[in-house]
Amino acid sequence: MRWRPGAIFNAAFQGLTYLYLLAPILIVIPVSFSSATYLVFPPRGFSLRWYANFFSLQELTDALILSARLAASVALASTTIGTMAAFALVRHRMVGRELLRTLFLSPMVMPGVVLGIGMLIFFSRIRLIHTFWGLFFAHLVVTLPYVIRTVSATLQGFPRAVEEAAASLGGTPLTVFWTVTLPIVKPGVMAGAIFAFIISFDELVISIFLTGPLLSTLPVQIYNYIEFTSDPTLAAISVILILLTVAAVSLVERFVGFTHF
Amino acid sequence: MTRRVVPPSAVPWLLLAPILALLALFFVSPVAILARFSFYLARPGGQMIPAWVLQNYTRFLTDSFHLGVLWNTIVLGLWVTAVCLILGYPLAYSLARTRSTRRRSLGLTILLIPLMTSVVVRSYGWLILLASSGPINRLLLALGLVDHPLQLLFKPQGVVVALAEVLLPFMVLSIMPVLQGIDPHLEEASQSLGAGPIQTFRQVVLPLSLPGVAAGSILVFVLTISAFATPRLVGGATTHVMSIFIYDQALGVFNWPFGSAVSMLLLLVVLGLTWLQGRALEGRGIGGAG
Repeated sequence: MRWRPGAIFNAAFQGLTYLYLLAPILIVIPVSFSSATYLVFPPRGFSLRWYANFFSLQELTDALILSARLAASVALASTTIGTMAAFALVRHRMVGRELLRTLFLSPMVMPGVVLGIGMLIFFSRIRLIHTFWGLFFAHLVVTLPYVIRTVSATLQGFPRAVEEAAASLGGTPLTVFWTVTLPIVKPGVMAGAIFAFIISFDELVISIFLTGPLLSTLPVQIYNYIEFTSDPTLAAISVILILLTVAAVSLVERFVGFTHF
Repeated sequence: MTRRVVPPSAVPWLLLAPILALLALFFVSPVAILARFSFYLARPGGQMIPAWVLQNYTRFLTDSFHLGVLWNTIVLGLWVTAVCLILGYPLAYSLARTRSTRRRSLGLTILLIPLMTSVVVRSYGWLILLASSGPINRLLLALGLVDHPLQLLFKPQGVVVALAEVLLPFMVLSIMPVLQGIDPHLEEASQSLGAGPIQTFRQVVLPLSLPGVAAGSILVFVLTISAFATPRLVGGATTHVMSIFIYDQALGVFNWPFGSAVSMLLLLVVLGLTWLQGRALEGRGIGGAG
């Protein structure tokens, strides 16, 4: 490449844009190791006290455990139900298929506050407010579209001939499904499960409407915490959450690659 | 031999039964009850009387304070869309035209990281960055661009900066596939016919990429007016947009009918624009960025 002024400007522009994308995520790392008792920049000293502080605050660790439990159950249920739906949508031609697809993907475009207030009103009538199952069903609704999209993408590139070959060699439909179909779609299903886990684990807005003082997820606790204090404890939690995200992104990249999205 | 226990035409409906039951109960019902509540009569103190009145809608659409909330929402959406377009188009172009798969994959990874990062983490990061003694103000002071720290937090400008950061990937991922679909030979042909790079861009590349620009812009606008956490945390108590207004009605003053009516208005705008976004990309075989 020749270094004309245009090329230099272009490289600088791109570099700054990527920095802009990463800045709020990178900034919490140095802050989390600060030893000052208040938020100060540049951070002073080095300590792990904020990490220790996080694990000593019971409302935060309780929330972390609840979020992990919730996300794991949601991921399991969402992947099962979403994969079944994706098979029906991709493999079968039935009446109203396009309408069904639109319905299944529509929770994705709903503003969180709109779904939140709707669920608040409805769930308080059926006594699901401030309960684990209320959060579970709410998160299931918002994670399903991502599972359906991910699994559908894998299914669309699926070589049907392999299944037909297995069937013609005497495999029963169930055998064909377990030994041929499932191993081929597994990367898509795994990626869908990881997405569902992350989305449930990070979900904030709807959860704000459905949680209470006795039952709260980690994002809701952090949100409440930010509203009245901003000591570096939050930076420590943020670093833990970022590490989790990076692990998940590299897992998805390994299973399916980003070309599918 | 296998025996068919169920007729083949029932198979898809058996596969769909769980999701249909689930969405009917936990997605369609909440939205339906929201629509119904928007016509209820609200009394002070959180009381509600079942009725069919339009009062909640007319109250929002006639009063100047509430119209101001609507106006702030639209202005915020337009600002964030403009910032994302200005930063996102060049990025999408370079990602679409680079021959190095490593550079493209690195660029896409960086784009996906903000999307996968918790909104509370990102908002907290912006609280640190935008603080009056934070790194951005220190840099501006050191460079001599300002002589006293700028007030960026709890201001609309800070909300635009923080929202555009997380929505930029949606813009890039909407424009990039459209640009990839434009044959690079068209640009070479235009240049060999004597057009300069700027004329080629204006007369060849830009018009062909407009569907992606339209789809990305609508998507970013919709996601901005739907956003709650970032405007609330970075914008503070002075930011009056529809999503925050709905939240305050639901959990602050407990006026559920009024909150429901404003929700229905927001939902109508969002669904209408999402339909338009789908139309912009129709027949091109690519979806939005989600």
